[in-house]
Amino acid sequence: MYKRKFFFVLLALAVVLAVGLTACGGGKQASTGAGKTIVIGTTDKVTDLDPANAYDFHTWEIFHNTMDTLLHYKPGTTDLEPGLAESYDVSDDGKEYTFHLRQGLKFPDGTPFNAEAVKWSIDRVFKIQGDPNWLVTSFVDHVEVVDDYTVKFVLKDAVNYFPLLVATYPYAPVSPKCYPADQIASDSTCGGIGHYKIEKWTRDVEMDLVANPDWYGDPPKAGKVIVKYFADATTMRLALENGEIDIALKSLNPTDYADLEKNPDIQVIEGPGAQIRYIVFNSDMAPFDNKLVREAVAYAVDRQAIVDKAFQGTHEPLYSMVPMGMWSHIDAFPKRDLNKAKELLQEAGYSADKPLEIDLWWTPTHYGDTESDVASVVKAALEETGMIKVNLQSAEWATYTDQFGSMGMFLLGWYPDYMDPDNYTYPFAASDASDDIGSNYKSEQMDAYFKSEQTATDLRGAERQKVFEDIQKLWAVDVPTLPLTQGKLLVAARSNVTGIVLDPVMANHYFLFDKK
Amino acid sequence: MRSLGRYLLVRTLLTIPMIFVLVTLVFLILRVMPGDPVKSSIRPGAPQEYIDEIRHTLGLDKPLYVQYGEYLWDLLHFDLGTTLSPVRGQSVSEQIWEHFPATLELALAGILVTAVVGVGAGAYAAHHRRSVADYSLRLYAIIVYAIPVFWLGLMFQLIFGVWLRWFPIAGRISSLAVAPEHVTGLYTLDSLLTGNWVAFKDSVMHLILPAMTLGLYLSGVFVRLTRSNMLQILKMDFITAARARGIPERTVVYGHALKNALIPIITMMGLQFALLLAGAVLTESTFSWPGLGRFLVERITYRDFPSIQGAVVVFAVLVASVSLLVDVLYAWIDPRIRY
Amino acid sequence: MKTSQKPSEPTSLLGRLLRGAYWYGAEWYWTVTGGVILALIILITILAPVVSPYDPITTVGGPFERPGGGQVVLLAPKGSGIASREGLAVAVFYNTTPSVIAEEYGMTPRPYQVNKDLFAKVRAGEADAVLLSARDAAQALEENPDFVQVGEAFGPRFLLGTDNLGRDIVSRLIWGARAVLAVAILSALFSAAIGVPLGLLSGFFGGWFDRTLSLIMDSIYSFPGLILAIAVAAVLGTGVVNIAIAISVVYIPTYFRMTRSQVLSIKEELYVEAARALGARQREVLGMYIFPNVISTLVVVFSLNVADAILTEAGLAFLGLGLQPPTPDWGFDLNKGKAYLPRGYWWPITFPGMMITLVALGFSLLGEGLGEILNPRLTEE
Repeated sequence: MYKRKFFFVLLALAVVLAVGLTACGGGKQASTGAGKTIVIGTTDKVTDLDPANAYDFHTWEIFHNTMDTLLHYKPGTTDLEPGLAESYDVSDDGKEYTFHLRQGLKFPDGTPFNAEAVKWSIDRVFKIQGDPNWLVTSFVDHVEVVDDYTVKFVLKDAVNYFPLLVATYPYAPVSPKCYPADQIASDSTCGGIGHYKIEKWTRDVEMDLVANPDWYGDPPKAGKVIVKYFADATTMRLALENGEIDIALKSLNPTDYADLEKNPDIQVIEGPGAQIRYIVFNSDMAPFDNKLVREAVAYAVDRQAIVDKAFQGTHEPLYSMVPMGMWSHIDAFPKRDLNKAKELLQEAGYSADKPLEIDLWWTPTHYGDTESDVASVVKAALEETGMIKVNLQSAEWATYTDQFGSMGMFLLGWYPDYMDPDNYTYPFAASDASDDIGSNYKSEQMDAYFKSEQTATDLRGAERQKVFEDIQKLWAVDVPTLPLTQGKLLVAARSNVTGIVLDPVMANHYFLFDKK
Repeated sequence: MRSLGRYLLVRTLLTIPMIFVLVTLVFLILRVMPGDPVKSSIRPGAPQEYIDEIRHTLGLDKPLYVQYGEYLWDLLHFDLGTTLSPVRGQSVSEQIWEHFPATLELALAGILVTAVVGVGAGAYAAHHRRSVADYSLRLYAIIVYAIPVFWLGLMFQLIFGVWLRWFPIAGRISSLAVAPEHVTGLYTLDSLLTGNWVAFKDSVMHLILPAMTLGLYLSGVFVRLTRSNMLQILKMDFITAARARGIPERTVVYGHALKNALIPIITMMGLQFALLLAGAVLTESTFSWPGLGRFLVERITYRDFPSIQGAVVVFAVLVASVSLLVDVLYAWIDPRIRY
Repeated sequence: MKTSQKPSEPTSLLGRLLRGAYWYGAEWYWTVTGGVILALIILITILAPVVSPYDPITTVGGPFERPGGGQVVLLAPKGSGIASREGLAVAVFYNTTPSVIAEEYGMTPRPYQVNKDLFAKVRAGEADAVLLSARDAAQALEENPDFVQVGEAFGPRFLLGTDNLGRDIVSRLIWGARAVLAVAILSALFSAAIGVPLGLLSGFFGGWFDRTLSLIMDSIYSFPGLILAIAVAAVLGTGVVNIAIAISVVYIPTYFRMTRSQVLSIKEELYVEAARALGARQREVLGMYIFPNVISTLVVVFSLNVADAILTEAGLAFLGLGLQPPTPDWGFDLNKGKAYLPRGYWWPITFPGMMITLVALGFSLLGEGLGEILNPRLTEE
């Protein structure tokens, strides 16, 4: 039995503020913010305020600010720190995780927080079988209460990234008195133990959050946060320009950000997002079973052109499947080199007279209006070699997902389920997962890497980092998939707003928002 | 009026097979669709067992005729089922009910514009038959019919929204926080009823461009309808009699004749209802108007069968009831019509 | 029939047109206008490879070049002695017309991201000269008096501008006509091929077959066509033939109802009765006596139907359910252009819409006019 303890001291949030954008010194304004109100605008919607059933970006962001998990991500990073649990132990076989809970906490309805509540919340996820249930049910066998403040998760199999799963919201402890045990409570404003409590919620209209007086950590900068829901981006932009809202989160029109940057009253903040775009090759299908072809395509694609022409600057070029800003990312793929691409094509037996003819599949109905431009730009870049002829093929999203395995080369996007490089690599290149995504890539070397990465004991240790760097390097050689771009997180705010910290975890930290 | 009562009954019963045919058609169309609603609602690459499990809980693994039977059974109980994606398990009826007032408001406002423009111009054309104005208006009717309604909307957005900045170009209201208290779901009406002037101004400003778009699009048909009806009426004896009595020509045309032409015009409006709905779908997409049409288009990309079926059923019921209403109105006005 | 009173054949085209007006009234001009519009469009469609200035799916300039824009000028430092553009390394803004066309004119582009000072790059020796959009030249020279313009403005001139990927809009319109016409005419043919025979049989034989078919057709007919087409298009997916089939489903009832009602009235005519009495077989009655009388109405309905089909196709494409790239399509271009409308880029959405209107108008005018001429009872007063 080895024991791993977190730093007990929560990193001062002021440090994070310094990482973020605040121009002022930070650190000193401990309790001045209680009376402040920040108004946020978004075009997203809350689907379902029940953590056992919600599985979308914005709802999880609301959870992020209103219910803590046993462990959570340190703002501005993809690293974990203690949340409702002060520490945890892992058994030698990696199948039992024992969490030591914070004491003396209570839910907003007054129900005390203890091991029983944690077990009750997990059991609830099993009963409800909501959309994100697999994050719990595929891994956890059962939960045991050891004592009032100690709870043990017994897993089906050893999973070293289990702590990252614990930071997702199906694992969030909720009050047994406030939620029904076996039914979805879509409109529940009970929340969990978080920085804020939900004071008022009108679906698709407004959500009012007030600081939780019982929060164990630093109090939120703004005592009150109002989230306003907009039906469309144009109206939200006007509201920001008129000062009706302080911050416009997801999302304005891509073209709006460029315009707003010129407005002195408004700041546009960008950071790396967690969404990545890439091409999947079917390694079983000619001509993509030829590694030279995949490599040639990797040299020929023009990421900058995709970013500028199709995404209007709302994405960044990406040279690895592990996104920028995430632990262990390296720029593994080579920069564009048309001559090198031509050499590889020649080596594979193609020429200007006998060009490589390929179908590039894309879908018009899942990735927004820009997708046809992405496909067109990729086609143009590949055809610039003079030795590739690209036929664009499109299919509706529902058909598209059904065709994995019969498409040779297709565009896809990825949002992570948990913040680990494993989630960006394993599903595409591991022998037992790659068929589901349609890459069909199999490599003993890659499998060996995954095995060693998934059994490493230190999640953020140097040993595991080295393995991921090797994975990324091998990726650039074998090209099971070809990373293209990474979405930027773009937030437009009034220029007096501070404390906007963007990180690839994607959820905005409302509790850090502040204004002068 | 016993015979009218019987006619009403028969006519009502006749709409049932029509709705049945459409429901069946759409059910079949959706089920032969390639593509999987379950797969498209979850992230790519999810394991097959997980997909099968969801499909089982949703009953999508049952034979087609069983699904069809169950669907009809539920429909008989006014149950439109629950959504498959993007969010599973929401009530379709609730969703449709949420989107319906937006469509209704747009349609009513569009009809208002059409009535003013189309009927007015049509009456004028009939009055000045074979004049330059008459030919221009008939040409107008043909041209308007040839203009894609969404392009008309885009041009209005460009001119009045982007260049002149008079009107907003998207949505029903600036923010739902401004929205009036829910009475009927029609923002303009609700804000009037509750005396919420901020909301009234805001919702009217949002409504003007879409209503103009839809209204002008339909006006072409009404210019022609009004014109031909007016021409028939103007030939009638009572008009000649009125003229003979020395009543001023303007009064004869816009008073006597138009009043008498209005009833057939209004009933014939009912026949254009399908055109109105199709126009509304495109107008809603152009103006991000959160109505049924946009709902339908959005759900098609998700293969959300229950929502698509639900929307089609509602559209079919709407069309059927309007045409029923029109026929009954006709039968009531003109007792010679009986089936 | 009116044509039986035909006077002596007028010789000149003008004469014929005037005579036509004499016979048929103003509708004659509509028919001719419609016909001329269609003839022009069809000519352009056939000649697309010749008349299209550029390839419709290739980037040939910078994004959102205004109508008439596209020309560039070469600005060199004073006293540098640069007189010709051949072989120069030129500083250009990334992803603009100068960066796209520099190589074509024998120069090596050194692209910089927007908002960098190109002139400073040249002064620092990173490039020989600046290649700039002709529109910006005057102001740039004012701000950088140490530079002079070399030669005249040159490069492409995009008559109707370029879209977001720097593709020539004129070329997209020309090639788009092919797709639109192909889909619309194919779908009308499909509808007619199914609707007309069914209508003939249904009207001729009557009975339960007629009642069932009529019920189904009436149901479809009463339903908003676009909504049905959306559902079918989503099933079939993209591609010219698939979209054509999706649209044709909507219009089958139009042909069915028209044919059936014609058959119902014709089959009571005396000459049909006579043919029957003389022992003509049913197939002969249908094929030789009834069908020919449906044709003139069919032509009118067909023409009007193509106009409808064009609008429906455009509607589908606008909703993102129509043809997909790389096939150029007007409705799709409107769909794309919509996103850039709030920034005031009017040209990507204005011209495709005009084309749709024009072609639909051509078929409508032709159909309306023919309707009045061939069958005055068919259309209203």
